[in-house]
Amino acid sequence: MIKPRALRSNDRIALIAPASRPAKPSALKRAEKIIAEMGFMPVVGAHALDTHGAMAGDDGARLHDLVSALEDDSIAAIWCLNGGYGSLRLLKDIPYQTFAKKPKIVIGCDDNSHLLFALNQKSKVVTFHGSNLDRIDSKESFDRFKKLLTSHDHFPAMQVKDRFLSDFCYAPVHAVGKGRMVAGNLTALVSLFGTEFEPDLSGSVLLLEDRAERNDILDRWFTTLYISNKLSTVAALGLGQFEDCSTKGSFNMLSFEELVTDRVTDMKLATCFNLPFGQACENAVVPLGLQVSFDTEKGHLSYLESALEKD
Amino acid sequence: MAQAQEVAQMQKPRVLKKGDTVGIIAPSSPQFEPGNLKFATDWLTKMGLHFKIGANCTKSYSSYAGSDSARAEDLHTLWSDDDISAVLPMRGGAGASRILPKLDFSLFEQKPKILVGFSDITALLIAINQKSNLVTFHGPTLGLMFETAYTHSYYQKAIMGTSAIGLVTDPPNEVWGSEYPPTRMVIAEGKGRGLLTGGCLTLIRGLMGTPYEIDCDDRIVFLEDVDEEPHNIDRILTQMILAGKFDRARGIIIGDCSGCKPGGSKRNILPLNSSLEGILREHFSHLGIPVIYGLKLGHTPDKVTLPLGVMASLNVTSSSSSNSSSNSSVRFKIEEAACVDKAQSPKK
Repeated sequence: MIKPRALRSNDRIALIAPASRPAKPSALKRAEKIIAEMGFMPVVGAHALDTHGAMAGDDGARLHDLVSALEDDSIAAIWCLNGGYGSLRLLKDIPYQTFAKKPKIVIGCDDNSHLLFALNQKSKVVTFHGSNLDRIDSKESFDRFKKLLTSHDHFPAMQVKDRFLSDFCYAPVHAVGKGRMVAGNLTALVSLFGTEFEPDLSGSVLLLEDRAERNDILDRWFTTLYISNKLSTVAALGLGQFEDCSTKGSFNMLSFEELVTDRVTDMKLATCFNLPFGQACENAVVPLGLQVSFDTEKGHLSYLESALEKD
Repeated sequence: MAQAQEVAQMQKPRVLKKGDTVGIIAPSSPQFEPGNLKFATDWLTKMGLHFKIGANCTKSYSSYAGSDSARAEDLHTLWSDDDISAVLPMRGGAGASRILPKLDFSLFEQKPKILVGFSDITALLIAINQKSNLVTFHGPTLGLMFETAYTHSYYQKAIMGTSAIGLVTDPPNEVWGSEYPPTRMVIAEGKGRGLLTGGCLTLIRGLMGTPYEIDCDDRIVFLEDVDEEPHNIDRILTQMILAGKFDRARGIIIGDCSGCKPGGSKRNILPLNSSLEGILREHFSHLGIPVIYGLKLGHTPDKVTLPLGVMASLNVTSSSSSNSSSNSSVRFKIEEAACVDKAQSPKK
């Protein structure tokens, strides 16, 4: 797996919108300011505020901003402004070879999960699941993000925590799974199924999250994963934050935990819930492609290698 | 060579006749209103049919009619029953995909029977059509087969007749009011001929990357959905395009897709959303195969019953404008009968 180099002060970071457009100009200004405050130089994509349907410009415009950032040697990282919909449409035209030769940090989540999966799968470069810039709203996260991205130390272990009970962890199947990290949005993962961009799940530690979706729809996509027979090749499964996901508007009364648990229990697949993995900034930044060890009983996931290269 | 063709030959179920018995199952969700089962069985009686009801038809495990094992068992039990000529899901809903790994596809191949449904049942229709090499029927679930005269007449033509359905016509025109989309909006002209396949897009997406993934090669593909955001439909179509699903398709028929407009899902709403028509034109205008949009074939009260695995043709010839909904320019014909008088003995 190819690793990008850690960031240094004054590095130029491209801010782009491969999916939907920023909600308002202030969201863009705010994102620039966050990057500048971290000590980097924000370089806003030319088409970040374009509109085309639900997207920030047509495919050509969004692709232009992504590809120029990937090809430009003076850009050290690409940070997605926000999610929405649209990054799937860009995958077939991305210069994956170029990215493998010029690896750099690409970070984002939500719909941009399509990009992280595809760049990791096709270019074999470590990509980073972390908050889009519009979700960064705490000083603690800001400091943590900056520290992680500027260091070549191992990322700190992830630990399931309950605010009251602290060590409480709901793990239907206890085991330790070791493998290559594949992490991202469940809807996006299933959107890549059957295509050349589909992540290789065999021997992986798989982390999933989603946002603003009904449990019965999440069950559809989890069912796809299950009936594809690929879940049985996974070393361990971690379910992260399913923000704003519920049974509301559905005939299905079951929680997503129950919908997942019956099958992982049958399969004896090491699984735990409530990992600090998701779109909100209090969650961990998760590098795709690294070797990790995941103890589901303890809700503890540790990295067996560093995510970033030294300068 | 002849043998190779024989193996590829799609099996057809024996036609349903008066006096036959049908099996009622709920492979997805249970009947929400208990009285609807009686409505449906009264219609069966009126049609001169007998029925047996699966043990789990009215059970409930959240939105599923019993556990996955229980629902799979009902399907197996009624399908194995030699008295039963057709297995009719009461309704769709959610959960049919969950039972696929538990199914015995050799049973469906050894005892060809009629299976009719749509929406969530799409998962069974495609899986059994492809894995058991059997014609299955995309049409009303049992609880909806008497919803309109149009729906019922195509239902009877498809499963109670041994001649080809022939040219598909539209439901009778209402005098007032115009409906969008028209049933035969032309997205692309052309001529195509191939076996039919298709169903509900959400279910088709759920089968991508699995052993039950839809095969669109050399086929006329029909697609529909209900109450989905246009960008969600775009996500599914983009996925199918990236997977090469339309590279060798012979024609595409998009159904009415009622409620597939911005805000239609009441979830996942994005601002400035695109129209479904715009998305279809963008993806399907230049494939070099005929594409139409608006046919009543899914989540509308009027729906034609379409058999998966029989030969059909779609001819869309030039008319005054590409926006025309003129019926004369679109000919969709089901060329081959879907049922036979006597079921073929399965080939080993």
